[in-house]
Amino acid sequence: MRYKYKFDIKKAVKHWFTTRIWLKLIALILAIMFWLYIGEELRRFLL
Amino acid sequence: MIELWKILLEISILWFVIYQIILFFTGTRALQVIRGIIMLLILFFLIQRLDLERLEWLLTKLFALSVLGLLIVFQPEIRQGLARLGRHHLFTLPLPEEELDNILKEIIKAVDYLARQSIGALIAIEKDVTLKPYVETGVSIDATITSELLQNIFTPGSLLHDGGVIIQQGRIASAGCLFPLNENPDLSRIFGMRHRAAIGLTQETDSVVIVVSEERQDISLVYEGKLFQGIKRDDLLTKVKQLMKPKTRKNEI
Repeated sequence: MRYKYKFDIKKAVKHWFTTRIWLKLIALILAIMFWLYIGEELRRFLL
Repeated sequence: MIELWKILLEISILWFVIYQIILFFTGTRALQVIRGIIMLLILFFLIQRLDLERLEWLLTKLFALSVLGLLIVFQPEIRQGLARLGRHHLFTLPLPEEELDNILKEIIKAVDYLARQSIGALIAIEKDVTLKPYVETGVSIDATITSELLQNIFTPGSLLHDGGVIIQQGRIASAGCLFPLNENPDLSRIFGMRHRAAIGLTQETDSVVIVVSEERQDISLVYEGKLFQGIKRDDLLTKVKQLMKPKTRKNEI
């Protein structure tokens, strides 16, 4: 029986979004907070 | 509309970077330090809101010094993490369960035979972090995984019996591969180079490594730098399958 590996982008993306969900959620919240923080700092710096 | 796409793109990139950083620290001693830093940041935020000037001044000075301190203290982890970052797959595709089962059964059949014949073996199964740099140190095989081929590779006298075999994406990628050695002087002397290589590789990657000791005829599993000795053949399949799942940590087996 020969196993041929085929890269399936849809499956790979689905796998990425369905594993370690909590960790990804925390990272998303931190990313949004960081984005808002940088935005505020940048505005203060430019003004 | 353009503005919204820019915002989403920026947040997505930040999300990916922060996620990779968190993954890097997960399972390391740096995680406790990161938790401590986050608590200090929350404290700093509260002190700022409450307008406590002296405490704010003190914490600001402390943060400035601690960044340098952390870089020095965690230099080995940072170096390892940066090396891993460059080798990480963006998206990983797991093998179908049935396929994984068949592959593992072949590996275990081989490992059981080798142990009974007192033939040493070292087999690394790639998980999320690519083993491509180590594959390149060996001889390319790219063959279907069969128990007979694995037994043949590790037979003493065979050209490829020295070094490790790497299983990548459901195939034997290469044999005679060199793995990084663990240099911990506290590691018991009963563990030879094969075990040190297994520990070294699992400290740098998240692969699952099976080691057969020719002296003691026993089978060990190595994962995230931790060695589980004397695994019985009947338990080996279950334990390896458990380790191959994305969420498993070394203390769960």
